[in-house]
Amino acid sequence: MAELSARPRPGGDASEQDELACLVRGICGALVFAVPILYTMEVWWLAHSTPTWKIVLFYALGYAFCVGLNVFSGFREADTLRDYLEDSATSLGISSLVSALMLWLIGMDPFTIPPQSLIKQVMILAVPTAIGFSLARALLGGKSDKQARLQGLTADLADFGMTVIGGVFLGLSVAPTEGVMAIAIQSSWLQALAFVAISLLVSYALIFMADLSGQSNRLAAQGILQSPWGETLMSYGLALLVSFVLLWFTGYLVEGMSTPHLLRMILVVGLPCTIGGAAGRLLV
Amino acid sequence: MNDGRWQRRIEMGAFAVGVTTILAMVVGLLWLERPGEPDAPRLSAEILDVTQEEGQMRVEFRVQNRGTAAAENVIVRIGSRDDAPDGLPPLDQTIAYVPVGMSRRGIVILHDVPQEARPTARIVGYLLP
Repeated sequence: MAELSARPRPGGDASEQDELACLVRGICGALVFAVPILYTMEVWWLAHSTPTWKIVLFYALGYAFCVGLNVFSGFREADTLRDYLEDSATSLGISSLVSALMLWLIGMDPFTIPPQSLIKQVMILAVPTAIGFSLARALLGGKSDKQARLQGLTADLADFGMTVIGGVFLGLSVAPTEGVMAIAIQSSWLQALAFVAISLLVSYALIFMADLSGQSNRLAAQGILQSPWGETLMSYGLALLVSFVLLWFTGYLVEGMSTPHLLRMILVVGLPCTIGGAAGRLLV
Repeated sequence: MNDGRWQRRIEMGAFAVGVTTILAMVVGLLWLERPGEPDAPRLSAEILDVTQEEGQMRVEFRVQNRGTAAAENVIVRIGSRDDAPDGLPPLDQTIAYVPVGMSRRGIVILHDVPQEARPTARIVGYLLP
């Protein structure tokens, strides 16, 4: 029988990780991300109004997000594709259990809610929770040399992935709320344009002006999409795409909706998606 | 025992729990959602509290949805039991929306209520969203 041995640290260091500490760190990261969404009532209702196939697709995308995040951060050291796939299953599975526990804590009684609604609620909540789980080291400051080892990956791909994941996380807590509809109805075209301007400025300021992590490297990076405004515009375009997909997922895109109203809603949700995307890129 | 073996066991145990949870959720959901009866709300109303003062009766009630579909414009009638008329004038209260698995509370104030009146709450109508 093969000897069980702990996963060695990448780079040849034979010392072993404390797996329990890694799991605790992951669960803490998960809670940081889960709590704001858990307290949003419209997110609970998503389970009743969203078709099953959309929720299974969202859950599968959540697994894909976890794989990407485990490459960039993770809740423990990992260095091979197999490690990333294993850690992502651990992240999503344990996050599902954490989500179920948190839902019970806030009063979702499993004996009064239909089981399919309960499973859907857990699956929806598990995705942002798993994002937190997989970002635990970057969020909570666990020791890692991963960022340094990631320089072989293209910077564009890293920025692309983190913009989408950060946008999904922050956008998901906003897109299902009725406030989006109210803001879109009330806003004038001038305010809609201001949404665009403020989204671009905040994104630019967070990455290139606020003196946060990696600012000097980003300013010195070459390539159209790595120039400050190139990256800002690319990430804003992605954030608007994420906003559109989230509005579709949450059932706000209905037949017969006027194009100007649709555009306003995308711009309204686009602002938190942009901020989430910028914060996500800071973690890479 | 070798600490490394324990670490590896924790790692593999967490992985096994994770994979099992994911599979159980996806397979369980697909199995529960297989074609069958259409979704419908299952509503019930109950009186939570009654206080009576100077001919006025304050009735607090709760509507609960244990079905598989939400209900809109749920009309709750506060009045006497059909088989025990005690002179309590019926009053309808509309609850805008009751999601699946959730409950909503309401309060009505009844005037000129006989002292011996015993109110009940009944669902008399609702709409599907």
